[in-house]
Amino acid sequence: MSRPVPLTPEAHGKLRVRPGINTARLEGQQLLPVVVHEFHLAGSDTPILFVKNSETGQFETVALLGLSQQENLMIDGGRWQGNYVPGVIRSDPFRLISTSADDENVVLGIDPESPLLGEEGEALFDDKGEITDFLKGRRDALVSYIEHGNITRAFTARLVELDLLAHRELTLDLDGKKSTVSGMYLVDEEKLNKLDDETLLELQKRGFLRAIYAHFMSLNRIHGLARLKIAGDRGEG
Amino acid sequence: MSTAGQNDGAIREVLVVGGGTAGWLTACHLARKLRPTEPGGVRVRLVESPDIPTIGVGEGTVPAVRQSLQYLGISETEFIRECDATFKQSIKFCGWMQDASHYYHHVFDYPQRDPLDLTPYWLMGQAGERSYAETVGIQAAMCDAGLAPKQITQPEFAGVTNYAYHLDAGKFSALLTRHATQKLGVELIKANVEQVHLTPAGDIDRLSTDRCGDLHADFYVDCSGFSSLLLGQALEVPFIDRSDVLLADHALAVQVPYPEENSPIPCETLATALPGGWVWDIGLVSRRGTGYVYSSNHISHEQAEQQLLDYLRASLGERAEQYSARRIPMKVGYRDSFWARNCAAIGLSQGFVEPLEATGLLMFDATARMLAEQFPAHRDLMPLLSERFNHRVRFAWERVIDFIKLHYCISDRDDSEFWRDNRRTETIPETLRENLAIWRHQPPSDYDFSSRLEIFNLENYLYVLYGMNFPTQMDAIGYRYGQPADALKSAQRIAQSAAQAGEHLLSHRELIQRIHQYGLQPI
Ligand SMILES: Cc1cc2nc3c(=O)[nH]c(=O)nc-3n(C[C@H](O)[C@H](O)[C@H](O)COP(=O)(O)OP(=O)(O)OC[C@H]3O[C@@H](n4cnc5c(N)ncnc54)[C@H](O)[C@@H]3O)c2cc1C
Repeated sequence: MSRPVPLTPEAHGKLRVRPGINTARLEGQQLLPVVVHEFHLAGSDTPILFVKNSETGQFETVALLGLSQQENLMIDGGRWQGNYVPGVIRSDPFRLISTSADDENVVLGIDPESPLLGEEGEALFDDKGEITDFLKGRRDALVSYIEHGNITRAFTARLVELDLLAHRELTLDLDGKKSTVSGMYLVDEEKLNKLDDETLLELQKRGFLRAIYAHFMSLNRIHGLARLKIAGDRGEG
Repeated sequence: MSTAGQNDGAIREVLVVGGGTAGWLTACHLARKLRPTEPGGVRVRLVESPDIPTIGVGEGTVPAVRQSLQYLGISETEFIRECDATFKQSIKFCGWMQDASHYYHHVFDYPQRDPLDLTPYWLMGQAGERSYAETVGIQAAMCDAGLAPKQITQPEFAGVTNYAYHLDAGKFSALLTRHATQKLGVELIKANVEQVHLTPAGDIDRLSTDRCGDLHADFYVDCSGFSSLLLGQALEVPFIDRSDVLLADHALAVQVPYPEENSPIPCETLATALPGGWVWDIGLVSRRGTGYVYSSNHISHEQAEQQLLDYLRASLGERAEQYSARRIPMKVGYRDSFWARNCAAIGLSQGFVEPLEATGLLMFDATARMLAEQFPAHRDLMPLLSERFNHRVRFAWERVIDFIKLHYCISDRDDSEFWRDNRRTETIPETLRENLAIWRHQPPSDYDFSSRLEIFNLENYLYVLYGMNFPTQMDAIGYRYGQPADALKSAQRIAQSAAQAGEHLLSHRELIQRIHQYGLQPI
């Protein structure tokens, strides 16, 4: 995705956005950010894991879409293969842009090169230059997505604080060939089970326990990815 | 009943005297082991003077400090943020040889010895053209390229290469104070100790203070700095002066800025030799700490000030004149014993050698840990335990002095009496002389360092000896090393990974900035 630009009626008054998924920008993307609120949905398609952001070292929660870097098995023939479309994809082509260093002030922005833009679809501004209900809806969705992102960061920070994350290599058997996915962190189930009642209750009340279990359940989806991979390899070979 | 309690020989209270880095680190180690907050634990108190300042220098460390921070439960992120700390991967020695352009790195990564020890091949000229440090590892090249020793995604205390820190000594003491008092249960008393009272048998009985009355404990740790209030003054343990070996006796210390706000932060301590000694130059985040360690028997204090100013001018131009240095007399040597009766000394009160290899913190960290691990369960054990402690610590001091002396006595600098005097046989300890005699004909081996208590080992000696072109004659033993082709290949592989290191490592300043912004993860 190219750098988002602030959305203005002057520059974007005539622009329309058609529904759909910008799969082009997902090609070759192995990891996709997800927020805790969608773990149970996204986790029915793909594994939900923890990785470290290479720029900041901070933990992020992601959906695993491929078994090696720059592989995305969830896009095939320009189509998203999952049942659930994660929020970050659904917010395309809109983004919030911070206008101050502390992320306090944000404005609505747009990816100027998104293939979803054009002369078809929903208008963003009306004749008077006011934003349309469609755009209002998308903006509100983005704002709540950002809030979910904040809760997700609080979630990972709490897991780190409780020393619940552990580095794991995922080893898979791909048609007889061993393959490993490295750099992934999971919740350590043993450590979780050893938490005291008070902490468990706290996690439950904040909705974190449900997210942790969604993460556990999602791990098996890695075999789904392996199947896609084998099918793809055979198809190509 | 309290009187019975006092006479049963159990040790229930320790008092640390002095709140410099040594005092607080000692208090942390003791409290970590002796658990003052647990029932049955030993009470740990520390008394520090509100008036007498700490020495205020001591900014270079060695990698062992990482284990200590981790062991004491201090987070690396917090430490880096609060102590203005930066990473240190090496000491870069400049001008220690006659050839003014000569420099070498004493890096913290050990020379790569697997699959092949490259040292003998390097000595025979069969491992390429690079310097010794560049031949046996990637860290020297990383320092020269200004790269950080770790990635932002690596957990706290883990690195691509081995590293230590540069830190602000005052801020480090403050962090240790908070940690000791808030997390480990150490009690702080602010008062001046005015008198030390002994029992008739000669043990320390109690200390009188100016504002908190008398303080009593079963065991005392003297961390009072150069004054050595308890061990030196009250118990009259003599000081063994080693200025016959290490000739520098003064330091001029001054904090200066970087040439520009965003100048690169060197990832090594610079140690630049001058006619009367050498200058340390340590880069913290917002400033540098520098100082000239010199011998007042060879140059006057005014000459020393002038030479330091000239050194600073090279980076700061005329601005250098704004900063005036503080003169610190240095007592080089150690006490005849470090634990006498019911009192052990740790820090400057125990001994001091010039900070060439940043041994200060290393020595008192190691001895504080040793004291904590071997803390007497009972008064009757003190004679035995103290004898062992004294034996070990003395051995460590002697080996440290040997190693520091090495840097001077194999130099070929001939521009001043200071350097020539440093090569006079009678200034070189016998143990070092013997080693050098052997190493003229064969490279050092692990068996030359047979004790577990050595602070500096084979690897440290290799970097210094061969960084300074020590002439080990290989002709007679060349037949022992029959894999020159493998050696060359191995050296080439190392050079290649050194050249690629920049692809996945940030510059030092950039990494420090990101740690301030995002922090490091504990895992
Ligand atoms: C020039 C120089 C450079 C150095 N560079 C390095 C280096 O790069 N790396 C390194 O590791 N080390 C270095 N050191 C050594 C290092 O500075 C010290 O080992 C370290 O600071 C520990 O000092 P200390 O705590 O023993 O003493 P101090 O810092 O002197 O602390 C003494 C404490 O005792 C208290 N005290 C004294 N008398 C009384 C009294 N009567 N009543 C109550 N309290 C009292 C003082 O208030 C103070 O709190 C250097 C030393 C010097 C001199």
